[in-house]
Amino acid sequence: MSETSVTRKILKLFGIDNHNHARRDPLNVWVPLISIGLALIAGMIVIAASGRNPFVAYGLLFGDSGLIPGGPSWKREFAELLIKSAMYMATGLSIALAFKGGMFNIGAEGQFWVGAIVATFFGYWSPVAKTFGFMYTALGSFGWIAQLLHGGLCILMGMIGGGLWAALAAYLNVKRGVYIVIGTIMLNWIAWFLITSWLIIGPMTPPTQTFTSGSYYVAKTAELIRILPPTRLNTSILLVLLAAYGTWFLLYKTTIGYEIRAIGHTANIGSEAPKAQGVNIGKRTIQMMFLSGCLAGLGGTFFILGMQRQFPNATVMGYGWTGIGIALMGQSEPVGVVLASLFIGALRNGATSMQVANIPKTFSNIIEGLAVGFIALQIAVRYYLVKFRERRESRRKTTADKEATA
Amino acid sequence: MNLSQFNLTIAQMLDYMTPILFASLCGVISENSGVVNIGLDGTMRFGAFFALVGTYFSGSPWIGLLVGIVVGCLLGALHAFITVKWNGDQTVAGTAVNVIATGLMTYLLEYIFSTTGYSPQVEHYFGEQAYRVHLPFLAKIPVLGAFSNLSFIVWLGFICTILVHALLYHTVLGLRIRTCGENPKAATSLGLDVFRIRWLSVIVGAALAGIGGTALSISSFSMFSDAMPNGIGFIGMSAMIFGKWTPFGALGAALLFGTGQTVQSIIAVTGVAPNLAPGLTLILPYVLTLAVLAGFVGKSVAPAADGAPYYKEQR
Repeated sequence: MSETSVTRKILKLFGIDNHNHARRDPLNVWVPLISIGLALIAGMIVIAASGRNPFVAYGLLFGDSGLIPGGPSWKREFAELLIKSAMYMATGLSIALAFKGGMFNIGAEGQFWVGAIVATFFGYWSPVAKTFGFMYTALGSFGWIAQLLHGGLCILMGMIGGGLWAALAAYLNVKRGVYIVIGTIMLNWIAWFLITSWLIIGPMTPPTQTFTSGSYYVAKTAELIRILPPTRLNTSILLVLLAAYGTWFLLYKTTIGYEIRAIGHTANIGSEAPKAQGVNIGKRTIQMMFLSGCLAGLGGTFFILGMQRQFPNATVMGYGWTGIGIALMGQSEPVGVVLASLFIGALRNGATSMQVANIPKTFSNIIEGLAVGFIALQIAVRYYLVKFRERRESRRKTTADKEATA
Repeated sequence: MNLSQFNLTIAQMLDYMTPILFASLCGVISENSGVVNIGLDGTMRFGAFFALVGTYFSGSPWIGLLVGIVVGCLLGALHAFITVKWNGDQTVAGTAVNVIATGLMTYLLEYIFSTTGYSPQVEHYFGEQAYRVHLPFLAKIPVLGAFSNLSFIVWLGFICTILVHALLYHTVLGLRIRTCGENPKAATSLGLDVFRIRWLSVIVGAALAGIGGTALSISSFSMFSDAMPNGIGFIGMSAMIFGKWTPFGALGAALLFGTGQTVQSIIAVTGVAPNLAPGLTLILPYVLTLAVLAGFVGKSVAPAADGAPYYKEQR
């Protein structure tokens, strides 16, 4: 893989030099690509089996996904794509970071919602909201400073909330030996029911509203600033890209990141090498899970501050589950996660317009699930790829031999 | 509250408990052989939907039950194919089943019945009087009276608990299953085929999860709702842990969690504590499970090789 000098300079600007961290095995790229390809083909079969034209359906899916430029509504679709991707990117990064540290953070779902509810609280809580509202009017044309500060506070608090929720699972894992998958799943449901069946139908509901209206609306100053005015596109995509860069920097440029990766590499073979080198595994694990939860919580704050402006009553789970698929498709590398979440965001975005062809928008779940399934089968995929490569090489060898003898 | 009401409440609770029980029995068999099946929530969704489809088109819930079991077996085979044959990550494979179930069932619901949210109701289902097990001599006794008029599926749940217990603790096969879950290498050295035993356990477990789904769609209700199973698979998983990976433990935990939900509805109906939010009782199963895992309340320990893929050549 040769890079032009310009790209190399740009990469250097961000501190990304030639020390390639990922093992340079092309299979690492091929496995997720093949999984996605197989999933898309299987999706076509599902559509065809139900008596519809898969090409028309996929035309609608990708035509309105925002991935392909052109067309009158492209700008709007592209903005929607980025808004959706930002949330998936956050949970994907969260799970990818945990994977790197040898932990399966299946609880990104719960951390996402904790982040969302904390951001909602700091968005509407009157002491905070009034202060920033006053600041907004006092500053006049510099009102955006108040918006930055209030939004920033909500995001920060949401991230800390999500982080603490994850750190709790990590604490139970390190100190009490609770298997992390089980611990985070339990905390998922605890967070979910506490929020949807208590907070937003009780303490956080405006008294005048009905039972089903969700929480208070956040103050105007707490909303994310829109950056492409006619569309809904807001700063969330910039923030999450920053977070992706931060995750990469943490993993590959800091001592903590090195230790996290060392723990992750040795975790699945049961080696205690990092411990022998003086790494405090328990402490690092809790710190890593805290950061992982922060990333998931960040996604939750986007959900509130960028899209809903309140915690709505009719929300469905799924951001964290999708994040698992994204982290796997991205092979737990921040760059891969960014690309995978753009793909999933496009899928989700385009699926809405597939409803024209009588295909429910949950269709994208089928593709996602199948892709995750094929990635779970990656040992098989790798096996056949290696076999294919060997066969091709041996064939090349025999033809070369024949030519040599001829 | 008079006697018949009291018994009715208990019967309701048993009805609620049954899907949880089946889900946790699925976990018990599967995890005792060393394979974690997080996909049991998705498997229940598949089972619930296809059982309803079977009943809808055949008119008999028996066919529905059969279809539910077959679908469960197929998903179990899929899980075993990924995790046992190809040593895939068990949590990832289970997640895949859950995510596919979310999308595919909504898709098929729309395709087969042209409805969103709910399927049409079926005429015959296990909750109906004709398909209940009538034991009139029990009706006048407190508590036991609840058993006088239960759905067949609830009884099937009790029977399966006993069968699973007998299988795991009183047969050679059960001993072998548990050996595979505790120490697969030792099992291999004794000449057992770890892969075959794990295949069997995962498939039998998933079949039970399929029945659990059936219990939701054509026993408790007479239709499939898009929200099903609404996390019941995960409650089942926590019941399994709370019950320390044993069938009777799972039954006890399922009863406890079922009671929690019933208490919730009693509170709502009688207005004993109108300000108690439903969320505070809904989290009970999960909080208890965490407490028991963390060793605050007793201690629950998983089979030693639970969740670990097995490589034959590895030393």
